[in-house]
Amino acid sequence: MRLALDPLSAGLLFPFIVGVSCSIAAGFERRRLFALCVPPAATLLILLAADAGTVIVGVAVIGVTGWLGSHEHVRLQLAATCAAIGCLIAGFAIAGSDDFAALRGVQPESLRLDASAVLLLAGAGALLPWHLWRSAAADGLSALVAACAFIVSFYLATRVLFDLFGAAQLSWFGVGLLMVGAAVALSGSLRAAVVTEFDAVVLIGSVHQLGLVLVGLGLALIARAVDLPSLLALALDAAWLQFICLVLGRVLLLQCAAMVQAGAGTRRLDLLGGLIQGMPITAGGIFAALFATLALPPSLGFAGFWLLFQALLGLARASGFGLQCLLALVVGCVGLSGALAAFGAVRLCGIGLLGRPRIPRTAAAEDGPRRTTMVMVSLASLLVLLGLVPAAALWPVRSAVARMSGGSAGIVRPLLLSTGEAMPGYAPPVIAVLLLVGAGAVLWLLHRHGPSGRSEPAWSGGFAQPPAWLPFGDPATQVTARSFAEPLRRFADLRAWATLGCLRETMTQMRTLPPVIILLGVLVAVLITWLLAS
Amino acid sequence: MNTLIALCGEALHIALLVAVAPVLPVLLRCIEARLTGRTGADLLDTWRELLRLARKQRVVAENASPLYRVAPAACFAIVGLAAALVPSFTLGMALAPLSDLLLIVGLLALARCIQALAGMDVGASIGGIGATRTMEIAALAEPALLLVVFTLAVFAGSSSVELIAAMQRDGNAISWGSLSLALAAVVLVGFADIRRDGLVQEFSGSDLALLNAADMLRLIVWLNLIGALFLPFGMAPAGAPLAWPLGLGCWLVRTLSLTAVLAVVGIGTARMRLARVTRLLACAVLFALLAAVYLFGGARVA
Repeated sequence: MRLALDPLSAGLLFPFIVGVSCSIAAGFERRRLFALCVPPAATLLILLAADAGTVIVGVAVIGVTGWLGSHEHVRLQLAATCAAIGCLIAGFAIAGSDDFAALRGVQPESLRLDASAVLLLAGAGALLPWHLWRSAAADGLSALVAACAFIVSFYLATRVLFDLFGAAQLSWFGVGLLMVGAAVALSGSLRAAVVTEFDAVVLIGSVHQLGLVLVGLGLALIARAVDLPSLLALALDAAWLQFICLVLGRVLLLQCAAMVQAGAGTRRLDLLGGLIQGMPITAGGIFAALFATLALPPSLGFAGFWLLFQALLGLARASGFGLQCLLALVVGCVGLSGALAAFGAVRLCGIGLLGRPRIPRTAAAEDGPRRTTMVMVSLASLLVLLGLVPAAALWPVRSAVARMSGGSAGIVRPLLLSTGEAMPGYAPPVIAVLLLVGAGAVLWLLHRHGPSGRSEPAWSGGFAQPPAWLPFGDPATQVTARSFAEPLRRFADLRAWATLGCLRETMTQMRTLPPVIILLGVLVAVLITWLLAS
Repeated sequence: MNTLIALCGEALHIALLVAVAPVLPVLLRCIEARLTGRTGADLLDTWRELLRLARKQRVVAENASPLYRVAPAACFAIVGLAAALVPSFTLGMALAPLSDLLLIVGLLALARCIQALAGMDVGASIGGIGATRTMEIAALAEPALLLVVFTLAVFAGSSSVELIAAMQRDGNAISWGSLSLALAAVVLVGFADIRRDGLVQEFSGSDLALLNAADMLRLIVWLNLIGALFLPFGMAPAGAPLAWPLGLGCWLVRTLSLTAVLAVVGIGTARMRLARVTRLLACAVLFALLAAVYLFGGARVA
């Protein structure tokens, strides 16, 4: 067993320490002390490991902790751990050494290297908490295990791709990661926009972030293959920011989800509503976490998205026609999945937190114990602050990125993200100050000079008076989680598109747009002939 | 000296926005009315309406959350910032270093999310339906817009509005095919973004005035964006106040003609159903994708 602390491990200690300490502080119980401490200890072991054996021991320990938890997917998690261990052992065996220092020097021939990289990445991928895709009753321990699993997976992937095999050309690998990442992001946000349970929305929503991390890593691999170190640094920075969003946002959201379940007694969105009145701190935490993960300025997610877009842009300028088209598709997918994630977030907040309570229990919900709310408030403030100063979030991995990209650390200035010395960039603190000053001035003017307001019962929208036993109005007159997602469900229902009847119906409706269709056909034909002729 | 010119340019730009933004919607309706054989409203109608609303007492629902109280001011500030970032008659304004296309797209999306949340806040069904529609339309508009941003940014080497506009103005044009496809996509997206219904149902008095003002600003953001990205003819270069009169004239002509185009499109698509809007937006995504492919194909040949 050999241990070492290099810049990559040191950088990952930041999300590890923040995520784990917040999870433990919020969910601490004396009788579960052992179960709460084992996964972080094993993760720390993996982060500090300098040989394959130590890594595999750590992975096995994390897998076994599943037994200690109470969630229902223990068997699936154990199977995934076994698969991960098998892949890791096979991968390191094919690579020819189990010592990291020795592996860096060895240059195995291309086929062996590819096979080894595939196996090691599959091992890292199998460690991700995939069982959460199916259902999501989150308790404190499974949340902690999942946070550790995300950190270990990201660490193993970056360690293998950018450090151990750092001299290899894995460009096809990058293309694969890019496509998988776009598909994962899209499917995650699409599913999160239609599921109807509070914590399922949260958990599946984080799959979107995971996809963006994969896209960033894929871009970095391609940038390395075409020998553009500055782009490599940019893509790694983007992947890192998305990863921070993923881990910290997820920890905060899961704590809030647990609080909602304890306070309101249900996870079904259609029974919640109006939580912001009784649980203001929890609601604030959910707002902060969702805002931090979405691509809305000036949030941390937007900073990551901005860097990701710049990396896509730089790569598109330096590559050939085929890759450019692929990158355009990835941009479309990332945009669609980002907008769907915003759709899901608005749906979650609008139905669960705002509006009127749908059952009396929800109206009586209250924030949880002080300790947990303190943890939530500090984590939420950290996320907001990191969004305003993304350079602070990038600082822990600065030297690791510099090493992985061969000396080019990217341009990191405290208040500005930019792609080059003289290039204009994205300055979140200035944006935030301008927005605050603008909104504050308007509010002050209204407060000072505007007429005073008065409170009245909300207009019922023309519905009949609710009966006396429904003090918060008839819940059926509010939009529900299902009806909110209905247009999307109809639009995204591929099975319906496949049936002939629907196809015919679509064709009939499309008759109303003949000029567009004709124009499109002509354009495609011109494009194809032109491309063939040149 | 240059800082002073930039500040003056920004101040003039904001003054123009304040003066013109309330006139444009009523001008739009006026042209529509004239084209359909009616006499339109007075051009100063919106101004009067805004002042009237600002003086009225606002009525707040009893179960409204703090979000409801802040949302109108926040929306107005966000869209206002976006409007201040997009150049109109000159490049190199004081906020020019911040004017990133992604940031502008993000600000518009942020305002949209806040407005959708505020619409759902008191739990009325109409606000909820409005929020659903807004967010669904956004889900399709966003990829189209991002693809257009990608195309233009690949061409200009940066996602800064200033650099793209400067490059277009200097005549280093992208191939017309790519440009017109991208323009079609942006027009469709902008058209879908400026029409929204049901979201302001719960607001009254000064809150309603702010939300209406934000909608007016949104219209002018789109017009200026289309102007700066695709038709920046006559736009004054940075630090050249002597070219401002020409820039102002060109901007006025451009804005008026774009408004007229929008009015004609508006008559053709009056009371469009949601399903058709989404279909139009799907076309916009396709246009934007084709614009990118067209650009890349052209670059390969060159």
